[in-house]
Amino acid sequence: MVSKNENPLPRIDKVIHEPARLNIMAHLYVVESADFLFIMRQTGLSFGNLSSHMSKLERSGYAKIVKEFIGKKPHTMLQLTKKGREAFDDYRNQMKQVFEDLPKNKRR
Amino acid sequence: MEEKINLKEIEKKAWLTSFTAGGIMDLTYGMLLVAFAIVPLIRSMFGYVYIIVLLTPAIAGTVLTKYVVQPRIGFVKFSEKRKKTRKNMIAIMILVNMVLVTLLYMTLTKSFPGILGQYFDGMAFMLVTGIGVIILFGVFAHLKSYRKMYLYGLLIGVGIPTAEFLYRVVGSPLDSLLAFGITGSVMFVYGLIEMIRFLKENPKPREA
Repeated sequence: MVSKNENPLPRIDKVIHEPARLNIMAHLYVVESADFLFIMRQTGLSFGNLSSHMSKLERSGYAKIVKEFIGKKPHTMLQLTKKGREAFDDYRNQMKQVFEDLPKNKRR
Repeated sequence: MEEKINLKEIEKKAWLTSFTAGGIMDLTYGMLLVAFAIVPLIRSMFGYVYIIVLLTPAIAGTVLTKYVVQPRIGFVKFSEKRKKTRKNMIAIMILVNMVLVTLLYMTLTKSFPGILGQYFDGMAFMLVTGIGVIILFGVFAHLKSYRKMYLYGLLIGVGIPTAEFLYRVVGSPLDSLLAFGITGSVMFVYGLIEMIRFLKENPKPREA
């Protein structure tokens, strides 16, 4: 938790803060797992874009790629790791704090 | 970011995509209503072939989902909570469809159960049945977070007493054709347009 005097901005997770990765993380957060195609369609990202962002999330330990058999067909499923879910929760709390701490615009 | 990220909305969108993409529900329920509309005609012409007609929408819906829609939208596994909801939904869906087919069979063949026949005339019975169907579909729509299911319930629920009323006015098979055929055809055509749009917007990827 961030103390009242501490500036929360430098603590924002840059890996998650990037819009495309935030989009991917948010979509994976609400499901158990999904394949590349489903996340591609839901986020509107291209295959190349999704691959490169997934690599970054994998390197950070936030997401993993799992090979599964659904029926007789192999599927490449994407899912958030426990660390990824915790990091996403922290990110949400930090962002909430940033906006809550901002003074209201009194010129309106 | 321009758009506010709403996790509940994202989850709901993913959930709805998993079973409504490509207008599959409109197509299936449209076909079901059209099947209800033509069953008396098929029955009088070909006998028990009407059972195949009644089963066709469910089979077509399953095949289209598996071989046309899913390869284009991808595969998703939901949380335990959603899985539980899905299991409840399947149980309710089986119950609803069993009740529905039985009641419609009774409507179309004018065969009311003995004890109910003593207390209700056909019209009152069909009104109660129609209301029951609307309530069942309402519960289903609520569990499924799928608003259009209220409309399906309403169309089928209103169709049941309407068919009974029309039977007295125009007779069979025009009664069911008018009560279910028009709405079913509209729903089917709407689903077909949705499917064509879906196929254009979501070509099948090579690696799917």
